[in-house]
Amino acid sequence: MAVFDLILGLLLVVLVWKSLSVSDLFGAVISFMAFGLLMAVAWVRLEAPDIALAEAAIGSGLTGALLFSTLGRLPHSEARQPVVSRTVRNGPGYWMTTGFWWVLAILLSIAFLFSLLDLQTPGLGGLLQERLPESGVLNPVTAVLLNFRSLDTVMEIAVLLLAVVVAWSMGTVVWPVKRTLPSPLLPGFVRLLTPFFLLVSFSLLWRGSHAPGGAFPSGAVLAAAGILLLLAGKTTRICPRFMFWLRWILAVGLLVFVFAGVSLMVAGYGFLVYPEQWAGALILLIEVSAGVSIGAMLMALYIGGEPDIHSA
Amino acid sequence: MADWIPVVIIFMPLLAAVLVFTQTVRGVAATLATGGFLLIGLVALGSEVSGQGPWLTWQPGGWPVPLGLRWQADSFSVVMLAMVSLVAVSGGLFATGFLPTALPSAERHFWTLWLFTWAAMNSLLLAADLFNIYVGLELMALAAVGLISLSRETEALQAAMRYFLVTLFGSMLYLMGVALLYGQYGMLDQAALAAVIEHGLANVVAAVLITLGLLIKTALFPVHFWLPSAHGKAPVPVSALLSAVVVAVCFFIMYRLWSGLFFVFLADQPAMVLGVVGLASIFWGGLQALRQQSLKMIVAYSTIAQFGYVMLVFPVFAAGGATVLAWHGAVMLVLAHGLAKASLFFAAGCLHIAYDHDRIRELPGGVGRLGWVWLAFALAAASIVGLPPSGGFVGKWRLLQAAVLGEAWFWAVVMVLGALLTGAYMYRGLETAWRPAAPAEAVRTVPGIMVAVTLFCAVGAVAIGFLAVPLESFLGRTFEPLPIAGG
Repeated sequence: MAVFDLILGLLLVVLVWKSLSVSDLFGAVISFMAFGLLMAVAWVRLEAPDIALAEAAIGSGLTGALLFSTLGRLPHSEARQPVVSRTVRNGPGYWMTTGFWWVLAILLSIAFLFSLLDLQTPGLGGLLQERLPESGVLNPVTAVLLNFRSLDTVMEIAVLLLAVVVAWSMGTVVWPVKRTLPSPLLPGFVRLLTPFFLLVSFSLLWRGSHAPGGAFPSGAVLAAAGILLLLAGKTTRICPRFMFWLRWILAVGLLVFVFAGVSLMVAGYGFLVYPEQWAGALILLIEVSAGVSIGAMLMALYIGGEPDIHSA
Repeated sequence: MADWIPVVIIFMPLLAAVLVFTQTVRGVAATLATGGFLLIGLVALGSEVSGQGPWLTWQPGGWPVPLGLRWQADSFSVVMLAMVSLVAVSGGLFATGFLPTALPSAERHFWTLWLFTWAAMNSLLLAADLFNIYVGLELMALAAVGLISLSRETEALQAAMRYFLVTLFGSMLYLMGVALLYGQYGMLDQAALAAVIEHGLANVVAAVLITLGLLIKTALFPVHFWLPSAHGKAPVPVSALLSAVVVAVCFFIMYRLWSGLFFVFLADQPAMVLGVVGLASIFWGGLQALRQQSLKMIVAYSTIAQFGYVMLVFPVFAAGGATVLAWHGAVMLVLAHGLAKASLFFAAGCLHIAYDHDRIRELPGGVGRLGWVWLAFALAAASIVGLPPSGGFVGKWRLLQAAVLGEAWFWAVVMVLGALLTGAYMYRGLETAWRPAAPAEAVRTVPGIMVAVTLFCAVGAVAIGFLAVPLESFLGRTFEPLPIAGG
């Protein structure tokens, strides 16, 4: 296996180098997606299947889709622009500053690598296993995300919602209109696939309580299904009522999480303190709403700006 | 301990943001209501801190450290929270006048982003857990990027993009440092880590990475380059929020870490390095401010210089002598700077609305409403420079006293020179107010609410000087670092 790991590590470095240095952006995005997939394999090798799942679904799949949708909007150009213009590069001040930062970065990296040798404690694994039975779920990752450190997860869902708000604040997009595709094969195929996507999404959500899975990968699969439907020419009419429901669906994951926390506090348990007999059910409720919201958020990010009511 | 206090303080603005996003509540109403709830929460928190202090902790989720995470608060957190709320509400009121006149297209999303930023700052001020701080930093940075780019002009978008990349880089450095600490001790709580941390390569690297990440976010000298464009090109209420409190919150975290977790390292070189960073920021920011042609850019550069000044608290700490005085000085400086800086940006915004530009050479002196704006500018500038009896004076005076008592003569000289430089560039702005007024030149009338808010913040910055004695007794007579506790 050591040979496999070595090859994997080398490939990762090569792909990073390629995606940073290749002159056409399309090739860079392809390298980046390949990097994400191999990174998922690396996580599997590190015995972290949850992270592998998230990396494959979000790091490679959805980020790739986002990058491609960005590429589609950029004016067509052959090669990427140089980061620093030639005139700036000539001055002695430029070389002094870059030299300073390079030396600092190299020193810091060397010190960082050496200090990695100091790390021995395997984190909180032992303590986590000890308290796992009290958390209401059997999967330690879900226990950390939804129970032990649920505050972090509330705020991460808020970050995602905020990302949608920021994207919407940048401008509106013309909602994809219904168009005729050259071949009926794609819509037919997607129609066949959609139920399976939904099935996988729900099973990931359900599995989250005892095995790798949970709201984030489940939402990513949901979003992938939606994006495929869009690509296959499916669309809905956009009207104020649609936007009303869309906004609430985007917000529901965060709202349910916060309301669960606050009502537990009002009931006398404390903020986000789940009573042991309800912990499993509460976590499932929060995960379902979060999964739906995350799917909608990731899809909204793919579409880009705020859907324009006047365009349809 | 009242469990509801931190929940209200963090989740009230967050909930308001979501409700504004779903268009259930109007932005202004949500901002004012949040301000009201926070006032109740802060009064309760203040009385708890002074009654049961100096440190309060809560366990959201109910799991003990190191498995769970905590919120913590002391008197510094309370006054910072109060200043954040004050600036957020004032900025909101200012925006009710500013947005319809200057940026009507931005009104749709401004309030959601504003409330998100507010929630992120509150959570950062209460967070005790290093990873929770990381999540808060991400939330704050993303909201700030949205706010900067609201005008959708090319320059603003460029500034927002640069800020986004730089601040993400800072977050990454911070996270790498946190990972090193977690890898060694398997804990993330500041106080729990402070109990076990010792000298060693990994800890030094972690301290360097975390500090570098936070220095980038606080915009101090070698890594300050993103601030002037980001704060200069953003819409005025946003510039005020970013310069007055967002940067201050990043400094607050750095202060927390160096006065608690990394306090054992502070003694010699680190304090000197942090001091030199401060010194360089004072002079670089000050000299750049002297060269600027527009009022808003002067104010933006002065943020770099003033936070450089606050950084001098670390070498003064290390010199010993009067740590309490140094602590009080830094707190007063941050508070007075927040209100004064908000007022300066508001004033620049009022003038920009009135004349459609803010180039100092061409601005006439003011009469009528604009006279009040210039009065506010003068008061706020006096506080930034540190003229008695303003809040800025008390802060700088305490810091100077501490430096003299600790016999840190070099830093005392730096402080005096820094104050002179501040006076020089602030005078360039003020000189305009003396000019003969030309009322006919005003393009638009400035909405009254904007002038009122500008004046309110300026008076607040001066009034902190008069409130120094009660404020210092609230802060406490002894300097108490974090309670060393496991849970």
